[in-house]
Amino acid sequence: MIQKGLFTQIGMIVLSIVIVFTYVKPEFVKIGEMQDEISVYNEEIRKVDSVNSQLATLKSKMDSTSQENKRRLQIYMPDSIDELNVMRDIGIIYTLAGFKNAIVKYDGFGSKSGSTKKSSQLKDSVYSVEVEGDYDKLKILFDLLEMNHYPIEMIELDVTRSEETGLLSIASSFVTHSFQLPEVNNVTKF
Amino acid sequence: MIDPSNNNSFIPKHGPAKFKRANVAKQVYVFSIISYILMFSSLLSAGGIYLYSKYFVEKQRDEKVVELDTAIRVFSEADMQEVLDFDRRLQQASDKFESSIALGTLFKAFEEATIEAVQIDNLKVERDNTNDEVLALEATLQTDSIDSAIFQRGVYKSNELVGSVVITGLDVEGADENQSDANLSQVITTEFIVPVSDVPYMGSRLRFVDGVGNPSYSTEESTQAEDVEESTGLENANNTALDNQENI
Repeated sequence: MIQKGLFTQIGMIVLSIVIVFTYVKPEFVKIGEMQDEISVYNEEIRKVDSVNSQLATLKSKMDSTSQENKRRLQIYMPDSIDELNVMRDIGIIYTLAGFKNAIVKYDGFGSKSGSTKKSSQLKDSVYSVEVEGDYDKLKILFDLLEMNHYPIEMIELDVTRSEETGLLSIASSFVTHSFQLPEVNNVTKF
Repeated sequence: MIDPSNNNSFIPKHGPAKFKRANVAKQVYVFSIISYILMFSSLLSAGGIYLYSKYFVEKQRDEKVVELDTAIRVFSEADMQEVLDFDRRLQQASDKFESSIALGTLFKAFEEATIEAVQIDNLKVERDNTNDEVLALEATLQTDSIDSAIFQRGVYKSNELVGSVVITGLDVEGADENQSDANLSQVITTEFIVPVSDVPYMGSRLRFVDGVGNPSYSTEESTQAEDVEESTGLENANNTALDNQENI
């Protein structure tokens, strides 16, 4: 016959084992998982702080750029091209170079020769001009084109000497560029 | 009363009876101790783990969640977009600047390398479709003799910019027999390939000295500082682009 006291002791041992395996051990595992989560959170917080810090640095660097330089950059690489203004500018340059009756044509957008590989993502606006003049005026034209505040790039030039007039018949094609945002395929939102 | 000195009984005398306890060995109930220890330790550990989990670990995790959420809220997507747009614009401007050429420099070199005996009838300059890094020049030259043509080719080859000259065609027009002075006309077609990097655009080097109504300009030998002042401001922007490239 089992004594009452022995039964109680066996019961206590069984109960303690049950407590350990049904509560203590799973709770240990749960604490371990939570601590892993905490370390992951710490890592993510560190990354986010790093990004925030870097962004703040870049923002202050961008804000430190003078308004004049920003304005010049905007002129050099505008958001969009006003074809009429560009044709006017080309006409003025030709006039300043000494050419008369410069005919400026707008040939639309396109990727004519001259679009560099690096800037091939830029929008090209193409213009053509035909004039007659002498070689000195042509040199002045090149110099004046270099002085322009935004690039008017000559991509084609055809100079032919006219035996009748002795002047040069100059046909040229120009291209201007505007800033183009890249296509966004994947957008990450927070 | 009985005299104790007169003891004739055969029954031995004993003192008053004393109850002697038997020496029983102490029994240590090890099993009980073990059971009690296990019970109390399991209860203590359960309680301790409950308190540790609820009031420390979970609290710490919740604090980290709040901290991460705060850090994410600090991030400004608008600022990032602004910085990215600025950087892209700078990068595109920088690429455009690097790929820009100074045709004046090329023509100056071409002019210097062309001898007096040669006349340029036609000149074509085109930026190559297939290779954006080169300029293709095609010139139709007229000269009085084949020797002049050969000499001209030598002069071109000795020039750094137009040294890649290739004679692709030669048209020899014979002299009229009736003419007393033989005047041979050699028409030569030449092709040049000039790397874009050899005619880089260096920024504005010229200044207007008069207004628009009376245009004239001077070609000053400007210093580096003047170049920066006269430039479109892209020098600083370009440096910023390069810095941004390093940081982003």
